[in-house]
Amino acid sequence: MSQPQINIDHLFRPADKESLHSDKIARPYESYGKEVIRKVVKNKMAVFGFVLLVVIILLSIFGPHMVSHTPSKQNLTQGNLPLSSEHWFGTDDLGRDVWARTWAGARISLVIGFAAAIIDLIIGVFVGGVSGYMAGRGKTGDRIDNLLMRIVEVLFGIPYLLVVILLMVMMKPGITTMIIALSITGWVGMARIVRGQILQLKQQEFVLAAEKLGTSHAKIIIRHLLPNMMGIIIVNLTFTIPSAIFAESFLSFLGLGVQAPTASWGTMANDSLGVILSGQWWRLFFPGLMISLTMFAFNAFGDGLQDALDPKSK
Amino acid sequence: MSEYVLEVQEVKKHFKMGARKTVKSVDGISFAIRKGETLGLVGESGSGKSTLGRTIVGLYETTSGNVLFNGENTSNLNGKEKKELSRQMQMIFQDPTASLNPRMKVGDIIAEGIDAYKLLRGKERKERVIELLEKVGLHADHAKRFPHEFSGGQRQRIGIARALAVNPSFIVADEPISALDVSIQAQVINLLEDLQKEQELTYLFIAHDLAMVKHISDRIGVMYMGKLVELTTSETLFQDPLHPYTHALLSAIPVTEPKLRGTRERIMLSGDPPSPLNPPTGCPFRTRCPNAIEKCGEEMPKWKEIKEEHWVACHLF
Amino acid sequence: MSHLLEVDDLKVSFHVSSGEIQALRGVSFHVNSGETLAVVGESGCGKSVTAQAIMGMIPSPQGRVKEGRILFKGQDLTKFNKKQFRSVRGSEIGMVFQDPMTSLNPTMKVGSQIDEVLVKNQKLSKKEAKQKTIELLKLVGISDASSRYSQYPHEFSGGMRQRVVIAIALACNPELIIADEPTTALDVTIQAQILELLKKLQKERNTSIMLITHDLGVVAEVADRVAIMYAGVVVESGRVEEIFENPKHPYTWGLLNSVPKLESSEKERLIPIEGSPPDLFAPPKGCPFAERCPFTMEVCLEHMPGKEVFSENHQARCWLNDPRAPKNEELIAAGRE
Ligand SMILES: Nc1ncnc2c1ncn2[C@@H]1O[C@H](COP(=O)(O)OP(=O)(O)O)[C@@H](O)[C@H]1O
Ligand SMILES: Nc1ncnc2c1ncn2[C@@H]1O[C@H](COP(=O)(O)OP(=O)(O)O)[C@@H](O)[C@H]1O
Ligand code: SF4
Ligand SMILES: [Mg+2]
Ligand SMILES: [Mg+2]
Repeated sequence: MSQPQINIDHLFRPADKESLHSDKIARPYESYGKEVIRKVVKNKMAVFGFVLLVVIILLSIFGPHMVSHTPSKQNLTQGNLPLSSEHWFGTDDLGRDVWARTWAGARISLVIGFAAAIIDLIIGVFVGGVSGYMAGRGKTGDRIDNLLMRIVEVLFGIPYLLVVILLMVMMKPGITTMIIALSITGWVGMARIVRGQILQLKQQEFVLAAEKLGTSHAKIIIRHLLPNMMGIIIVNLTFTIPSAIFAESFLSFLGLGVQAPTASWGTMANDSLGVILSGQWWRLFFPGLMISLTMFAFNAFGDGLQDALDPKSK
Repeated sequence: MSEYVLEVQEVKKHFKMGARKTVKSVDGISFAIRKGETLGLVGESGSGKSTLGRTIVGLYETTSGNVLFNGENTSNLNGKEKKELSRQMQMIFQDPTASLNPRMKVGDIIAEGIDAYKLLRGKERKERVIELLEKVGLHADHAKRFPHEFSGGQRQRIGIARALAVNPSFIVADEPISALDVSIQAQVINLLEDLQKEQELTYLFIAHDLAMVKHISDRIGVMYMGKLVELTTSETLFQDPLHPYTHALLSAIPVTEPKLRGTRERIMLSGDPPSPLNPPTGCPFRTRCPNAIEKCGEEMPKWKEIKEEHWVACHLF
Repeated sequence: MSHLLEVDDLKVSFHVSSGEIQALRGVSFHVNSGETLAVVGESGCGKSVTAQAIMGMIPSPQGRVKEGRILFKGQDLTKFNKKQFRSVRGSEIGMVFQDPMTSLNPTMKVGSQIDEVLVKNQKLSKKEAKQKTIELLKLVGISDASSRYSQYPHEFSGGMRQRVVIAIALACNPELIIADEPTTALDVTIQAQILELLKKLQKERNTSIMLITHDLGVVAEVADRVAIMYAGVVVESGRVEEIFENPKHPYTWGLLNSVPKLESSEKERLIPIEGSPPDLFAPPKGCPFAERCPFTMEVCLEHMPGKEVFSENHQARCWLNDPRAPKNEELIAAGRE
């Protein structure tokens, strides 16, 4: 037997165990939110994406005010100037400042992106939530679920582009039309994800327990179901936003979205198509770069968030 | 009022699987539980124990049959009466992780029923939560913690406190100790026994550990493929089992000491339990039964009381 | 006699954001050839990590063997690289896990999964492999083996899947099988079948088995020797009779006491072990069981008890066995009963 060096003979007497209580919790406590933030911070790409997003958002707010030119002010004598201390990103053929226009465009992109997110949250989460929760709850429940899912399926089959084109015919093209088009179809993906999540969560014993204890349907959805799928909802949003932004730029580029002379990354790219061969690369480069950076930033952040929300990750 | 707290009469619970198939998870079960009694329920996984428990407490609607609580048919009630009756029947769940909402604090979890029934508010609510925590052997300051900070046994005690909060008189405990370590199982069993004495609770105790079921139950029912095949007092079930499935089940219990090794004669069941989507004709056990006779394939044996307090469904009796 | 497997003072830690989890804190035991060693203990005490360490499967980079040796047939496995481990796994050490689906590929026919192992490790031809696979399936008690050969795992029941996993583990005639709670997820009737199967295979093939379990009934059924683990250390080990009839550690007493006695007809109150095991994030410096032990002395709180040897096989780590400990025989006898 390994004898400790020091004399311990006097220690062989019953210990006072009052001071011990074995149901104590030893591990330092970390809230779920903090844990997620810690994991995201550890992920370099996610942090980079997040910083990039903040910069883009700040510039979209303050960018146009940092120069003395307004985005739509024309000055034909100053057309097609390269980058200079006067015009940081150069000018276009009408002499408008590309820097100012780029950040004005960013506003449109972000508005569309966040509109898509809000629509996803309001319509998508609501429809998915109700449909998933009602499924399997007697005949009426199944009927509600079936009805909502039919609607989702039908909408899922209609391409966004088609809806936009149809709406353009009926209304005038622009950001409002695009947001309306988004509200018609944009939320179906979210609705499906939320419904699937709810179907799964509903089987969990804690939801059964709440039901057994007489908790109301609304409370079960709000206190038990939604908080446990917040992660997935947020991750899904970080992917909805960039795809809406891309859709806006693409449609504007095609002339189906925001109309000239309003500055949008899509219209700016379109305007410059004819001239890049003549060497005015900045007119296409900056809107193009911003589209790519924004998409990248959202996706990198979303990926990091997704990993961080995965309980298996350390 | 009848002698029984709970009477289950020919209860069926079938689940539709797709358009044509149904799973007969619970298929015509009848029994009754007396006040203050513990009825144990055993059977292999998939035999329908949880479905039966959930149907009894009203989490699932019955496909047919009646559940009587204190003599009242639970499906005839509505509104207030139904809610009041539902309060009296509570449930303790199997999975110590999945049965507590990870996003809620323990105090709010325990108070869930108190809030839903608007029993108490403010300071009184808080005091009641602390009282419940202490009753199940936890500490007042645990109320502010989240479930994942607790061990399995502690979480199971939180689940018990949550059920107790609404003062039930009947509790279905669905394998409350299966996921716990041996040394912790005894803690929870003792707690359940103490609570039963203190509050005159009646239990339906579902489990797969036969030694534990024997320890806690006054009577034991054995389920196989959605049906009860035998029901009698714990003593009789272990000393004088009748149904061939019960025999096999008891013979499979591991010995408790190495020196008893080999003393238990094993009845090895051949084959697997049949698919619940495609149950055999006649007696559901006949495909694996060592004593099956011709009649077993032809008709379902009747559920009958062979001796006093000894029910069995088998053509041999 | 040298042992087939000898684990000596093994220390394994996991480094997570909040610090170090000392999962194994000096684990020592051995497995002789042809015997079954049961490793018993509460969940979280380090049973699976021990198995992972032997098989070189500790999740890295967070987990790491810090100290100690794992001698398998005289070779130190802690010095092995990935490739060496791969050749040992499968051909010399077979594995069976609690959830058979973790070791089966759901998209591959059951037969092909066994064939694959045989072709890879034993260099059999496809045809020979198939024949051997069918033999193995029969050996583990799967009736109708040749038609079962071409079915997928989802067409098997839980017990049947576990048999298939055992067949895979056996495919290369390993000298040691490590089974991590192989029957925990199964029903008693199926558990009895699987235990019978393990016993039969051991008799026929003289395979050694390291059986991880938390069920003392399983231990009583099949073990030759037992190692009781608590909070990352082996607190008692010995022949199965020694452990059941003359246990020397209060934790072992507690475990034996907390299961109801099937044989007794009176309804006795169960004697649980109060409290819960310590968090290995901040393991106590003295005896890990001190917080829950009914006999704790001051020394227990300050110093880790050393190994006290009672017989060739039987040893325990508890200060009560020290000659200086007060002779509270009555108390101890009460604790044991
Ligand atoms: N919600 C459900 N939908 C469809 N089938 C179910 C559902 N719940 C249980 N079942 C089926 O009913 C049978 C009995 O399940 P269960 O009551 O959970 O058994 P036990 O608790 O005895 O293990 C199983 O075959 C299971 O697949
Ligand atoms: N991959 C891992 N990362 C961090 N900690 C781990 C990991 N695997 C195991 N542990 C920790 O090691 C300890 C022992 O775990 P394990 O060996 O799985 O216990 P068991 O005896 O139940 O098999 C536990 O405290 C557990 O939290
Ligand atoms: S060393 Fe002390 S605390 Fe540990 S088991 Fe022995 S008596 Fe109990
Ligand atoms: Mg169940
Ligand atoms: Mg384990």
